Amino acid sequence: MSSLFLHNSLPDKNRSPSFWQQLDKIARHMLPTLFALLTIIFLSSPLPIPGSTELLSATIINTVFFWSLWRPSGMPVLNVFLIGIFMDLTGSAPLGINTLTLLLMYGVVDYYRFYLIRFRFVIIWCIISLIGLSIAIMQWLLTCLLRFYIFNPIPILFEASLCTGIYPLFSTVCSQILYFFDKNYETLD
Amino acid sequence: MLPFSVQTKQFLNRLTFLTLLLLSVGIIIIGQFDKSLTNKFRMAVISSLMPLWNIALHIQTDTNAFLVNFKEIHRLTDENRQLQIENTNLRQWYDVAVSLARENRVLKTELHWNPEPSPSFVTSRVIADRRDIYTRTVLLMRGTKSNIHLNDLALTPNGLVGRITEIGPHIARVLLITDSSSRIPVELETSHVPAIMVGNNTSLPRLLYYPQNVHPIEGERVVTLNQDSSFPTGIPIGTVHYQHPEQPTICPFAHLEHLAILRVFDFHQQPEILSKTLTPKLSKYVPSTPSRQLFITSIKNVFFKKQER
Repeated sequence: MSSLFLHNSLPDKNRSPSFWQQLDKIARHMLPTLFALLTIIFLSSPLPIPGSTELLSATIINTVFFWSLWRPSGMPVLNVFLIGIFMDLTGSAPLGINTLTLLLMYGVVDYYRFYLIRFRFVIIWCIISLIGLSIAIMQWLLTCLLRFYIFNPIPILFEASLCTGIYPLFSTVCSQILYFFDKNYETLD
Repeated sequence: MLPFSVQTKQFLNRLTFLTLLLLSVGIIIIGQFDKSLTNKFRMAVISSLMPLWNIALHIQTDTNAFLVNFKEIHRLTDENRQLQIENTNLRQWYDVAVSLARENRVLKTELHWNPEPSPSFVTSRVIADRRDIYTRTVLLMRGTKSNIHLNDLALTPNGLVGRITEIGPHIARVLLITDSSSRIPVELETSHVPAIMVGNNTSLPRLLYYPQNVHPIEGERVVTLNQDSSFPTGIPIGTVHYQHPEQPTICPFAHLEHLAILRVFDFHQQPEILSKTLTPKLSKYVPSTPSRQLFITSIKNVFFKKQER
């Protein structure tokens, strides 16, 4: 419905955007955040998904990384904060850990964005695996510090490898979505 | 779009980022010092998500049930025959149990036995198995409205599972005995010594702080110990198991990896209320086969009581 309205209105650039256009734009801007929130709800559910906690963390890291790198307008800093706090509230780890780590990742990606987008896919893959490992180590350190207990560090490797492993698939799907947007509508920026 | 220049936008973005970063650090600090506030927010969010999770759980349970039924339909005849044999066997045991229960009741009456209060319990489905990377907890879809309290014990028919650590009106969180922050006073049934069961985020919690001159025996039962009236004595937990020499662990009776339904017991209620709420009653459809001796005892009992009057 909304796309029909958009196609009809595209040639006339001087006309102010209609209600459906605005709605369509908001929906496209909110898509990554909505995806992240739905992922949190789904992977926090009682369904017996093996390694769901690590998968949740890896998916959220990938989502925030991908969209803050390629379409920052689809993943503003406030949304990163909201995703982090929602993830913290649905989990049982000390509150604020995911929020802090996601924001730090966002900060790093945002700062080096113009260097990062020049790299090839393989280099970016290496970078996301390093980021995944750093976040897992940071989460482990913070949890140990806040719980006064040395936890088994093996889950760090599992979380980091899962984060690295899903990136190619995730990147392919999200790139297709971006390509679809760019082809059919005006860009998000 | 607001009419700001690119520089102003960048500056505002950086400012927002820094503010949110500081806010997240603040949230960590507040969460660490004010646990009740954190729990309140968490329970509110989880309560609002509970209907969705409930639907997912029901779909999953129904699908599983359908698949299991489909797979096992061809084994029904064999199973039915086996069950019939087992049922006959159990029926005999049931008769024995009924007669023993009656005998027990008569003997208690003879001794003027004052029965111990039975605790009340609430049965609840496990709505979400929130095993984070570093925590071992589950969520129950019952809360304060269902008369569940903080520190109540959660049990399966096999043994202890954990205790309630966070609670909302319709939701409660059970800290499993395997969580790293779980410490439970226990008693070794054969050695008759106290110890502490310490969770370590693995499936086998450790057994610590037992007397130095005692070595827990492999396979001996471990039960709870009432040290400060927070735990009743004698709830089965598991058996002692040595994975490494000199490091006894406990192999829990409860299947902690597949928790579906839990019973939450309140051991802190007033005994007067408890004795009224849960008096064990035998079903009227139970086929009673009292022994001759028991029958004579009960007749004698009635006869002498009447004479006394």
